[in-house]
Amino acid sequence: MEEDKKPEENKEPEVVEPKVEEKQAEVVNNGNESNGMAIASLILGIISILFNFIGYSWIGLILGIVGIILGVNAKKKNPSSMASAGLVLSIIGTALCAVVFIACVACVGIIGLGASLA
Amino acid sequence: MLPYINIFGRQIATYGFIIVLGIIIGTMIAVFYFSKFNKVKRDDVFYSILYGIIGIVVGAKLLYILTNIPLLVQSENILDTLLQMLSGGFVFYGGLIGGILGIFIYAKQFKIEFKSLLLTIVPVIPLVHAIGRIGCLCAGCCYGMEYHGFGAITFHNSLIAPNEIPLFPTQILESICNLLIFVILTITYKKYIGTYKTVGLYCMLYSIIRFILEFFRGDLIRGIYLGISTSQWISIALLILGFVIFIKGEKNNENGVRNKSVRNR
Repeated sequence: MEEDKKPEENKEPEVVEPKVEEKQAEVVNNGNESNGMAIASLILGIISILFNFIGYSWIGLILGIVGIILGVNAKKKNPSSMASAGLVLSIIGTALCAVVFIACVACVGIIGLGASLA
Repeated sequence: MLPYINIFGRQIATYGFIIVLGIIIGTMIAVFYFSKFNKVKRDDVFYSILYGIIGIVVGAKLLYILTNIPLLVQSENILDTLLQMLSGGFVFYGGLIGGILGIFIYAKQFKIEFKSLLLTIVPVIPLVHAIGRIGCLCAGCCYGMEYHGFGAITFHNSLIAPNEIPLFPTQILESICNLLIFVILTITYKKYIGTYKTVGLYCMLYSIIRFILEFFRGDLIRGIYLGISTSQWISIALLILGFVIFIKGEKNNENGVRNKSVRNR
């Protein structure tokens, strides 16, 4: 019986070791991925704000929305200051651009178009 | 009344500014107050609202563009026409479906209960709407019929509403009514906690108010079918839907205030 148990005990490390490595690799991959998303969110947020000031709010709005989605995903996977900064800047950029673009149901573009041309 | 305001020398549409302000206030109330009563973290409420707003913008604009594809194809400069469409026109149903879809996508993506998120966000919708109607007043849209009685509004330099004619104050009245709905939903929130009854109550109250106020509206672009406007038909459907949700809304469950183990940070 003792002889039977020994090989089983020896096998355990062989089974556990790859799992730990896989988990570590997964964590590293997730970290890298979320870091990439955080950087992308930060850049898109900054560009979104810039586009609002140079008069291309519609481009800023699209970039800001993409920045928000990336920022939220980055924050959920790996909360970091970079992800927070990216998210905040994307929200500011989107809000600034949205102010120009949002028009009421009945406004039929008059206000938004007028403001964007101003 | 006040279509544009100047901020740091930059001309900004008042409607957009006020609606963004309304969304910020609504989001803060949902995140810091209503999230306490549901099994959701503040972060998740905030992020789901962001997804919801993105859904509203994308859904409303997408449906507007889709319904105007013939106009887009016929135009000489497609990019200019597309930009005009992006800057104006907002299909309510597109926004509604898009907003709910946005929250649903967030819930699915991060494995969070959709019901809890929805119940946290719904009570602030009338508040955002109430603030938004002030924006309508500034822009001059959603105006009332000609009226010479108490509280009549006369626009002098509106791009949308007829100028120099006293009009019924539909925007102010709808804003006050929405504010009242918000107060009612907040008071009854604890009673109906963890159930869809709040959603049903909101649908019923808003549809009744909208149905009545539509009789005093003066804007001409909305269609009339069988004697009542499109919005009134929508209101009837919403009233029935709200009533069904309110009646069928299940009783309190484990999502209630009593469950303090999952309270926010």
